[in-house]
This record gives sequence, structure tokens and C-alpha cells, in this order.
Amino acid sequence: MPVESKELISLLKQCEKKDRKSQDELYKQFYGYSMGVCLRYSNDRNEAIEILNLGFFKVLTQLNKYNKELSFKGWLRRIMINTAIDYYRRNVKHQHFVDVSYAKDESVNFDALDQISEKEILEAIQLLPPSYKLVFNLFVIEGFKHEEISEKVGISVGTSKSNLAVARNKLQKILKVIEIERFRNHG
Amino acid sequence: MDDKRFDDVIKNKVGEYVDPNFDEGAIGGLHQYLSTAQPIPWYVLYRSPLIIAGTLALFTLFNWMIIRDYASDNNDLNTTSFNEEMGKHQGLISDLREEVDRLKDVKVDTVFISSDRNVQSNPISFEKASAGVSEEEIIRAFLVKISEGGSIGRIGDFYFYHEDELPSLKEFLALGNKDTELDGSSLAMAYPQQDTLWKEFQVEQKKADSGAMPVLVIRGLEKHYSKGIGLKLGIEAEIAANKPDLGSGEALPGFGLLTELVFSPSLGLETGLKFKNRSYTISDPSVDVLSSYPDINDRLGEVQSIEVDSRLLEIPVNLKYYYPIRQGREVYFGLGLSPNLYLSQVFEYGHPSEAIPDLPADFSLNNTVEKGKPKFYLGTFNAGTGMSFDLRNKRAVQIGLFYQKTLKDVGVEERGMSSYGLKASYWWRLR
Repeated sequence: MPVESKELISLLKQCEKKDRKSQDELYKQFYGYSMGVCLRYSNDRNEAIEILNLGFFKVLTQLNKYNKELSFKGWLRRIMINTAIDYYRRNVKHQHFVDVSYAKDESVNFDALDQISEKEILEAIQLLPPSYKLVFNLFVIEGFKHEEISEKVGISVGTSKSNLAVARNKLQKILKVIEIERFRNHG
Repeated sequence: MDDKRFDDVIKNKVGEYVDPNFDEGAIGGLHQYLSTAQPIPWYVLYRSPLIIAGTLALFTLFNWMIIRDYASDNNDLNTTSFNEEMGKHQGLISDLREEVDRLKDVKVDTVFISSDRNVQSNPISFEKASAGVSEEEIIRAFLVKISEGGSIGRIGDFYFYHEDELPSLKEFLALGNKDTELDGSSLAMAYPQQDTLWKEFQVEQKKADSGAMPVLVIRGLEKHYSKGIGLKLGIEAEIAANKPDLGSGEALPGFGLLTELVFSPSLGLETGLKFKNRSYTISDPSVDVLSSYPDINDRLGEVQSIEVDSRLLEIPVNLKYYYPIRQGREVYFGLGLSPNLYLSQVFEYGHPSEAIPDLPADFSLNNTVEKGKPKFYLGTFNAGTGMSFDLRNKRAVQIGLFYQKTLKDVGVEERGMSSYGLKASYWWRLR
């Protein structure tokens, strides 16, 4: 029994027939949602778009594998995440780091965290080194266990735990910087 | 800070984040991926076996028709089977029948005939009829009898003679039997009336060995009665193996609509319009080679292979010579030229699949460039040979081999090409 609307099922069928107009429509319809996922795994917007397009390419070429009894959004999300993981594996050599040493020993408080916007948090996540960012996203946002992350990313469970800890620490420091900047800007 | 709480806050903030800004330019990247990476068609896996099987099937059909033709024993051809063979010459017979009514009323003057080669020693004499009609009409009347009665065996054993030589008749007889010296003065023979001739002819027929009408006699008859330029219309299918001057080609089919101007039973000019595909692949092309190929996308990495698919219209102009090998069977030889109108060319450049991360295993990375502006090229030199098999109702089937070579480089990339293959055509004689 399909869980998606008739309109979406019909659109997916057209996409399966390589109808370019329908493909574009599906892309536009799920762009925002997919971009929200991809932005978290990328260093910047351009990289997010590249991951998004690769993900959609996989979606459109593997639509026949989509089980219509499951949520399309869930399937799409899994593909985007897997695409991001593969993208990380291929581009790991290009990873770069942000210097947050000046903010060490600082930590963000939860009240201040509530004041920081979703966009700012996303930008903060993007500043994390790719390996930390990947583990952080998979563990914190997607809810994977370290054993699963270890298998998916190809790292040891210990590395996964370590990366998560460092990622949390760095993210908190970045958010603290953002908080300080916000305080300065608003007096 | 409590890690669990921190994680929950982050997850709640960005876990279901939907980006509000749609980047119109982003979709272009997807389009590029979709256009450069295409699924490998299922038939690619079976392309070679299919080509081999198709070629074998065509060769088998060709050989079967040849063997069937020669395997039949001419000596076993009895009167009935001969009638059937004659029936296939509907074109000739129908022409002859048009004259039947008129000629039935014609009182035959003279026909010179003998049923024995040694005519001087044992001539058959008939009463000479009164004069009044031309010699040509007399001969036609005789031939009408043959075609109507159909109970004729070896016409080559029957000679026409005349005191005064008839050039056309002499030619006809020379075709029938090369041993015959036509010398009217020394072979003054019989002068039968038409009915007597026919009766005597039937008698001699029984004595004679049964056999087929010599093909050259048939050709002589056809030439004798051919009037003006004939016209044939045909459809043709072919499979041609392409061989470029670099790389390897593919065997691909072609189809066409042809017409043939029949100048004589032996000579025709074939022309028409054929749609063909030419395809070839170059692996690991050098820089020099790449320089002549259009729109290579350097961003996708080095070009590992080039596949070129060209669609073209061919306008063949071939002179064909037909040589009869038996009744209803001819060998033909053809030579000519075929100007080419290239309709479109598709250049598919193969790049390393690593250029697009995470490309599924069953996908290859190809950058496809299409050049759709039609352009004329001098085309090819053509040579071919094959067999022509007459069917009923002025129809015929031809099966043959052909070879083509480009006279000058063709295509956007300017590459020489030769091709060879099998073709089969079905013809209707319109006139």
C-alpha cells in the first residue's frame, strides 16, 4: 500500500520514464529538504549543491529500487546521507580545518544556544573538519550508533567516538565564538 | 555542558532543516550528470553475438539459394517444369501475348527451321507459304507459339534460316547456338506454313532431349523485345561492417528505397535513397587524434574512448550488369558512387568514471555531443556482386555482397571509412 500521495507516486512514475519535466519538478519539490541534509555534510553551499545533485542523480537513476510502501522522504534522505558519506571518502584529502584555539576552554550555555539561529548552527557545523562533521551528523542528527558509523565510514569504533567528542567540543567552541560575535554586534 | 542535552538542542534545531532558498542554477548540475552518464543498453552485452548470428543467417540464406539453384538437375527439367519456368518470364510473355491476337490473323509467310544441326545433310522441308508479312513478324509468330504452347524443350537445337540474311535473326540464332554458322546461301531450307511448322516442331520436340532453354537465348529474346527504358522499384536492407581508418567499426543495418532504370536486360542504372548508420570506436586516442574531434569536455578528465555514431542518407548511383546463369537467375556486378548527406553525428567521449563520485556500478561516464547540421560529402566508391532471382508477377529478389570506400574524408572529424557487407533487395518491375 503506497504511503505517498497519488500525485507524488504519479510524479515518480513519470521520472522513472525519464521525463525531464517531471524530474525537474521532483527536484524542485524536494530541493529544500535535501539541501537541509546536504548543507550539514558540506563545507559550503556549493559543495552542498554538488552532493545534492549527485544524490538526485542516484535517485533518478535508481527510482526502480524505491519501495513505494515506505516514505519517499526517508528513502531520499538515506540516499543523500550515503552520497555525502561517499563524497567525504572521495574528497577526504581536501579537508580543511578552522582554527578555534582562541576560544578554547570556553563553552556555550543553553540559553545562548537557543538564541542562535538554525542557519548559524548549520554554518557552525560546516566549519567542522569533514571527518568530525561526518561522525557528528551521523551520530547526533541521524541517530546511528558508533558501530554503524564505523561500518559506513570505514573507521574504527574508537575513532568514531573520538571524532564525535572532538566534534562536539569544536562545535561548542565555534558556537561560543558566534555567541561572542553576536554579543559584540548587539552591544 | 551536558553532551546529551547539547546533542538534542542541535538535532532539534537543524535535524529537519529545510533550506528556504532555491538556487535556480543548481539544477543545471543535475542536468549535466543526467546527460553525461547514461545506462549501458542491454543489447551492448549481446552486440557481437547478434552481429555474428545475423551475418551467419544472411550468408546461410545466400548460400542456400545458390546451392538450390545449382543443385537442380537441368536434365530432369521436364516439359511441365519448363512451363513453370516460362511462366516466370511474365514480362516477356505478356509482351508477346499482346501480339497474339494480331498475329493469329497473320498468314505466315516463311519460317526457316530445322530440327537437326546437320541441316545440310538432313534438312526438313516445308511448303513455302505465300509472301505478305515481314520476316520479323514471322519469327514473332513462331515465338508466340512457343510461349503459348510452352511445350518446348531445347530451342537451341532449332535453327532459323533464310536465303537472305536477317541481321537481327542472325544475332538471335548466334546466341542460341554458337556452333551455328549462319550462311543463308548455303542453308536454304524449309518454308513451312505456320501450322505445319508447329506440328513438325512438336514431333521434333518429342525426339529431342528435354532441357532448359539456354539462358543466352532467353537474354536474346528479352533484348529482342525490349522497348525503351524499363523501370524497376525496389526496397533494400543491408548490414554493413564499417572499418574506419582508425579504431574499430561496428556492423549496422541500413535501409533504402531504390529505383533502377533498365537500359537493356543486361544493363541497368540503380539509384535511390538509403538511410544508413556508421559507427566506430577509438580506444585511448592520442592528442593528435583528439584534435579533430569536437567539443571535448576537459573538465571530465582524459578521454579514454571515442564512439562516433553517424546517421546519413546515401544516394547511390550504380551501374549494374546482369549475366544470366539460367532461366530466372542472374549474376550481377555493380560499380558506382554514393554521395553522402550526413544528417547528424553523435560523438560520445568516454571519461574515467571517477570524474563523477559515486557513479553506480552499472553506469559509465560518457560525454555526448551531437552535431546535427546536415552536410554533403563526396561519399563512397561502390562495388558489388550478387544474385538476382526472378519471382512471379515481375518481381525479383537480389542478394549480394558489397564494398564501399570513402573517396574523401567524411564527417565533422574528417575520417576515412570503408565498409563491406551483405544486402538484400526486393524489386517490382513497373515497366
